[in-house]
Amino acid sequence: MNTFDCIIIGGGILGCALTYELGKRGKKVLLIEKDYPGAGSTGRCIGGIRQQFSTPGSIKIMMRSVEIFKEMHEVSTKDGYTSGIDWHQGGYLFLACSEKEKSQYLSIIKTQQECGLPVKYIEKEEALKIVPSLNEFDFIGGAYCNTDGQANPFQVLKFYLDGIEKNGGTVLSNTKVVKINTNNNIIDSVITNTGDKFAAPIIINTAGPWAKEIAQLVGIELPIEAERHEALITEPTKKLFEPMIVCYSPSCYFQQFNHTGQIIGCYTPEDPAKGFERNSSSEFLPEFSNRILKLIPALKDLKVVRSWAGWYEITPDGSPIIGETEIKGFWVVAGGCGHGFMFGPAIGECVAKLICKEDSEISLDEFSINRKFKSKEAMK
Amino acid sequence: MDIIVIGGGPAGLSAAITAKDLGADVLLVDENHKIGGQLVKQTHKFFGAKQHWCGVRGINIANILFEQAQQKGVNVLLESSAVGIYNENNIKKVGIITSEKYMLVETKGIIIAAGAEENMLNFENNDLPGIYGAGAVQTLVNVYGIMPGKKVLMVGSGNIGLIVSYQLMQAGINVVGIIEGMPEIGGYLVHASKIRRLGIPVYVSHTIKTAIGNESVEGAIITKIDKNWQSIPDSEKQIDCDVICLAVGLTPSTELLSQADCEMKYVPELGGYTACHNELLRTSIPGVYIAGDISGIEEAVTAMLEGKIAGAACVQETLENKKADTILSQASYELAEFRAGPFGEKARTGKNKLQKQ
Ligand SMILES: Cc1cc2nc3c(=O)[nH]c(=O)nc-3n(C[C@H](O)[C@H](O)[C@H](O)COP(=O)(O)OP(=O)(O)OC[C@H]3O[C@@H](n4cnc5c(N)ncnc54)[C@H](O)[C@@H]3O)c2cc1C
Ligand SMILES: Cc1cc2nc3c(=O)[nH]c(=O)nc-3n(C[C@H](O)[C@H](O)[C@H](O)COP(=O)(O)OP(=O)(O)OC[C@H]3O[C@@H](n4cnc5c(N)ncnc54)[C@H](O)[C@@H]3O)c2cc1C
Repeated sequence: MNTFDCIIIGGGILGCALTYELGKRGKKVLLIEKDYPGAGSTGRCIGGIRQQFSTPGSIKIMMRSVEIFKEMHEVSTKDGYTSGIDWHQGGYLFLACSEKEKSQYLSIIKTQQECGLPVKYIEKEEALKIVPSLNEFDFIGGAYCNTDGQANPFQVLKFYLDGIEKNGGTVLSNTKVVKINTNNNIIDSVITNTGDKFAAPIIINTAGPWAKEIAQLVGIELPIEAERHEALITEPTKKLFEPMIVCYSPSCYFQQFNHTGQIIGCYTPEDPAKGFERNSSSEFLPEFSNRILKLIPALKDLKVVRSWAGWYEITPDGSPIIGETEIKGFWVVAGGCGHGFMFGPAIGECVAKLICKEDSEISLDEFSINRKFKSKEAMK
Repeated sequence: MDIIVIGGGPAGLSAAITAKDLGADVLLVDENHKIGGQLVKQTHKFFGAKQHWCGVRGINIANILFEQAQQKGVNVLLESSAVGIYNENNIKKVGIITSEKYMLVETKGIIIAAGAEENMLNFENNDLPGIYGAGAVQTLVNVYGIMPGKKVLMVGSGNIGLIVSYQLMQAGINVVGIIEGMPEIGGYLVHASKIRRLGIPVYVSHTIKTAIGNESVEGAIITKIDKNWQSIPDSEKQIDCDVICLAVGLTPSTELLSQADCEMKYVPELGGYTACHNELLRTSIPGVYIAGDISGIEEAVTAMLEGKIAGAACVQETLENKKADTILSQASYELAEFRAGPFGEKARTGKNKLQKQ
């Protein structure tokens, strides 16, 4: 009874998407989550979805993710579902504040266009047309892709969890994996804090910021570190802008939820706290407010409803780590680096195909666990 | 600042006064334009023992305490909300939004006396205009002189439900009935007798099922319930009313406690989640104290005694002040004495549960 085809450790977006995709392919799956699905980074992210990355692997996987989000939206707004996933294609606008930033965008846009992404460089006037509420501060233009978008992380998780249930999968919440058994370098089973043992020939580590801890249970060192990032959300307001707006000098990125009207955003601090610090810093609320007001002065009287902290799962080169480890049957699918939510649907599908030995047009080689961590994702 | 007190109800006011008396620099912050918390709307006289403000109206207690605080030199910021508590590199800061600006104030100790919020009930149409919390109705009538309606159905017969019903009748607003889920009236006998004398029907073992109305409340359907709170068939009754007033308990306002990362615990006797605290009202974070309804729903007298203890203990810990000892033992004794009776049983059980940890 305690034997499965696949066991997935960690119920964030990656674990849920993968459990769903494997179940859809007829696998008997078990998802084990130490708190509740979404308790990790996924429930703390701001729901931005973009295809503007700097390497072909990431661009292609994100183009596939966008297709899946669209399908999910269509299915989940049909009868029989209580709610959609709040999917909306409002685009992403990366502001260029210097000639240097502009030329960086121009060279990345070339790679992106080669992958078939409808992205372009726009001058300041056009940016102001797309976002009329944008302040005329000293930016010179930006990289803009209008098929990028947004979705509600909680609704997306719910979509997957409903699907897992429908396909007969099992989800164990409030259950922590505390031990992993191997046998001659072959994966065997997991032991939970409830004292139960569950066995499977394939066990997948989707523990996000905790992926390193899980790997250590079998003596593997993964280069994935948790790093605190903060966010805040405002009360709803009338529609002020369509795209997610990203600025690097100073850093801040934010969007307005199309369906519910709140503004949600973050910035990357100079020196983020390492580890599992989950308290808000005293700096974030006033500093973020200053930065966003410089860009969108119309937000001046808007009330902040809450702020919180979560974790980016940072890898050395800013891309996820995916693949089977040196222990046969033990996989790692983690390291989303602050963009794991948007990668989730396509990674879930691709890894499920790989495990089920189906053909896939998308290669995961760029994210191989055995790669040398040389370059760095330029669009962070 | 030495000490920041968040919330200017009876607990916060007495914490601020006590801390100031012991020589601390104190800042008291309250989000309202009038200080006093719940006391602001309590136009009735307190009863009980002399040293506990017997015979004084709630609003006057607030005024007296505020005067004391000002005379002693407590800094007071009104219309200002504390929105964040930060503890970084052993420095505590409170984020405060005043009517003009946001500021971060450094402090050695923090006392959170943010009070409680009123509970809602689940029933059909419970979002119709005309459905209020009893505290909100009391505020409208006693503070602003506004009539919420003409015919009020009160849900809940605890002290708040009874007192507010009585005050509504005094204000010329008809209370058409009080319903109570338990088989007996919940509040003190003195209040219940007043209600009886006025002839307000009390429906015990009843609950509200539906609010009737399109634009606003036009009536309510109530039903009799058995011991397990299941409605008894064919016992439904329609009540003609334009206000439904919910006096079904309070829940501690714990948002700041969670945000500050205090260790929290769910204790039904105290009204829900609150921060674990010791008998000196200290939370799991050194230098951070709580007092009053936020530490467990009770009443104004216990709130003031807790405020005293938290104020003294916070000064003792953060400023290493030895003079606090006498105040602490005196107030702790009074609090234990006050809670000793049958009405203090819930609080005693709840507090025991917290402190056993
Ligand atoms: C402020 C902020 C904003 C962000 N904005 C975006 C954005 O706009 N777009 C985007 O794509 N990404 C964004 N991200 C990043 C994104 O949230 C993450 O990359 C993504 O959610 C990671 O998903 P995951 O499934 O790998 O990990 P998680 O969601 O963290 O899931 C891992 C799960 O594993 C569980 N777990 C851990 N240990 C155990 C154990 N021993 N046993 C059982 N279960 C265990 C945890 O409880 C957790 O639920 C943001 C992140 C933050 C913090
Ligand atoms: C309708 C009603 C009638 C009552 N009648 C009686 C009675 O007759 N006798 C009796 O003994 N008790 C009575 N009580 C109970 C008594 O009023 C409360 O127990 C007591 O007021 C609790 O005091 P407190 O200081 O803990 O909280 P409160 O009086 O609630 O004061 C808390 C204050 O903090 C403020 N605040 C909260 N959060 C923040 C923030 N983040 N920043 C700034 N300010 C903040 C609030 O606005 C409020 O002013 C009654 C209660 C109610 C609701």
